[in-house]
Amino acid sequence: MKKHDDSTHFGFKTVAKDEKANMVAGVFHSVAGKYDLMNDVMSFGIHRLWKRFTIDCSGVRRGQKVLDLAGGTGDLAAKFSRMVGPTGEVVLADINDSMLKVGRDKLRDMGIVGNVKYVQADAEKLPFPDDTFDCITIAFGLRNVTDKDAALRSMLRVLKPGGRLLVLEFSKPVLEPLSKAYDMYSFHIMPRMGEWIANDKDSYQYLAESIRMHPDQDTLKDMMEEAGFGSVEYHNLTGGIVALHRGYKF
Amino acid sequence: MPMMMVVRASLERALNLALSHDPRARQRLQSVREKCFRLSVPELPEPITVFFQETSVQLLGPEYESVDGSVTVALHDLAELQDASAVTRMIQQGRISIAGDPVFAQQAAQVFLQINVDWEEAFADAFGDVPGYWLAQGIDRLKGAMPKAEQMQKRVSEFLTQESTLAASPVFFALLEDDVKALERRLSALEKRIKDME
Ligand SMILES: C[S@@+](CC[C@H](N)C(=O)[O-])C[C@H]1O[C@@H](n2cnc3c(N)ncnc32)[C@H](O)[C@@H]1O
Repeated sequence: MKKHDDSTHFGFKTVAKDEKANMVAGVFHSVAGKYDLMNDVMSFGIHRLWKRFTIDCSGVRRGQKVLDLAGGTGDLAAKFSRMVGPTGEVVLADINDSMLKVGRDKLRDMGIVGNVKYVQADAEKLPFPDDTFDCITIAFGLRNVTDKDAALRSMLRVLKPGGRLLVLEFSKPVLEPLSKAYDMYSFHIMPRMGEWIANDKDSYQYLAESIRMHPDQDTLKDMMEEAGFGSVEYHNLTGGIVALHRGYKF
Repeated sequence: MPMMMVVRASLERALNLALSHDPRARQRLQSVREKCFRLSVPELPEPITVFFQETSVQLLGPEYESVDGSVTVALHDLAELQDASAVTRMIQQGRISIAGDPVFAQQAAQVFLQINVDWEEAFADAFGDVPGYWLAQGIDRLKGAMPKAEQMQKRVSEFLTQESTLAASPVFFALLEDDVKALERRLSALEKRIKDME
């Protein structure tokens, strides 16, 4: 019999902590090829606006070092690469080699080469020296991580003093009617769309469930402060369906 | 905010379409590459923040704080800029201000003022031959109604160079104030952490 703290959530299921990473890997291996298409279809393209806002809040400029963690297909990394220029560097890191491969091919097709590195890495144990990055982003990645507190501490370690972390993640809609409509969408429509377009209902069911299980705005803010981030604040986007949290390492 | 983001994204597409069909754009972009310029016109819902890249631009939102240079001018004063002799007076009256390197601001303006595109070809690529032709006709008429690009550019550069000789502007102080506030916030957080560690 496993101890209570050896278990975690995989969507609504309770699973052993050491199983979750493999199960998440299964989901993203399965969706990698169609990930960008599904992102556009399911969010009606709004994920691009959420990512734009993330860039706006990053303050990233030429010559800086940026980590796009759980970066998947590299939407943010592509933008950052152009902002930091040849004197800067962007690291696109993801635990999943299928997602990384799709990201690498996409960026190469966009002509983005030279200042982007691709690293297969687990957010909980980042393989970088202390004080490496000016900015770290993790977009729609944190909810898939088994030990979020460990991941936040690991990010703090590799941030330079004065650097900032931006967490873009699904959150809790602020208005009850919106919350109901959103639940209806994510539990009924999203898995169906996953089935029709990507022929993969289960993965999209997991995504919907994992969104619901992710900590709300204030809980995540507390977690970031607990991990050691300062001046933590968040912005609700699209009525709190998504929130962008920002915190600094001092 | 979402509406403004959509507007920004559409404007960015239009600007990048124009730049991609302008054979000399790359050369102009080279001098401002990886720099960010902000034009604040109080009557507009938000400032226009342009991040210059190798072959294109990104339009960023008001939250982006790492700008290299900015100009603030009221909408009705924009037109007055056409009269170079009025500019010094406007600066002294605090109606126009500039922060950062004035040469950069001048180069940033040039990226757009010197856009020279065969619109018919550009729109045909994007929308097909017939709509492309009609859109290009519209652009030609619009251009006829505007002062010549070189004229505009001359005026902008004259005003920017004159401004550089004057004392620090209200915009500069506003930016400085923001920086100081951010620093204060970081310091108090640091103090708190040190106290917690004690
Ligand atoms: C929903 S995708 C987000 C991709 C991209 N950031 C975006 O916004 O489009 C989540 C990503 O998190 C990655 N991921 C899951 N667990 C991770 C972990 N422990 N460490 C690093 N990446 C992880 C997945 O492989 C997947 O690529």
